[in-house]
Amino acid sequence: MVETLLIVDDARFARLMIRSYIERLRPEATIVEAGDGAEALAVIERTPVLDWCTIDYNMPGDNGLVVAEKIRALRPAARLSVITANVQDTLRQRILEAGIHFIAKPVTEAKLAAFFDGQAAG
Amino acid sequence: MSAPGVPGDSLALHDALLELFNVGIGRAAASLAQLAGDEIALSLPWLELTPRQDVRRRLLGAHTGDVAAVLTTLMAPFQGNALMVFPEGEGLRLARLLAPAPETAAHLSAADHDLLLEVGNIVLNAVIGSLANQLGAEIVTHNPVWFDGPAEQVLGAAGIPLEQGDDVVLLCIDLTLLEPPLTTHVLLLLDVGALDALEQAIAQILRALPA
Repeated sequence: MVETLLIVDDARFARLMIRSYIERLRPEATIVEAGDGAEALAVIERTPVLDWCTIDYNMPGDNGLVVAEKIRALRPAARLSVITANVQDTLRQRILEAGIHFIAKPVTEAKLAAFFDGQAAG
Repeated sequence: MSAPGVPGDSLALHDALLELFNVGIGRAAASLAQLAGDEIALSLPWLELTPRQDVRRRLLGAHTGDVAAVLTTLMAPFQGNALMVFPEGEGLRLARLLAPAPETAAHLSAADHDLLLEVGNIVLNAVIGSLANQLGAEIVTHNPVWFDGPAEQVLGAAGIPLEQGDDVVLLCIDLTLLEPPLTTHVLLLLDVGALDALEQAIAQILRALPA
């Protein structure tokens, strides 16, 4: 079955970079995008299966951790990663304690590969 | 998010610049959080092309009291200024947090100046260094300098006049510490001429992505 990935980030530049790397790492996957948490939930409503999701932290509306929790409530099987430029230890710890993968911006292909491989935070 | 006044392929450039700035600010906030021993809340960053004399109003609103600022001048490959601005009282609160003093000082001392200059140095270098790394360029800067006094004098010394002046690209974000409550502004003021160089550097980043 084809995997579905959701990229949530208010910066199109960031979405473009993440999409580009994912297309190489998961060439068969279907990729959908959202610019904030509300749009992400709307996308999920019309996407019956969600396998992977990357979520920016500092966005208009809900922050990435709140969005991640909402997505998890709707799609508990989805693997989630919060991707953020905010690399403060306290935030990283809150994200990891929530059982969510953490990626520090700038995003690289190696950091996303580690997420897909189920490795520790990148 | 709109891009008021940014010319050319404005939305793409606006979006990319904000994201590069955002990554740099994330590094800077982590550095400041380590110094302060507590988490720093980030506002959403914003960018606009604005007359240089409007920067003060955008930054401080109706505030007319004293401010303090750490300023670094960007020399190459594009010209501009990076500033960390402490509105009245905020710098003193941060100084007391980082270096508790027994006396209830009402004003910043020379030692406080040195302390906050170093804080600004760390924060601004985190922003500029991250920006340079992402752009694949070396950004040449002057050593940071300290200003304090009436807002119009301080920002005037930082190249932000009250009247007249050319347009400037303003990138700004607020860093807020919850306890003690204090907010500082971090901003990049780039000459409009920097946009061409930045656009080329961003195009290079995009060309380097997997096809």
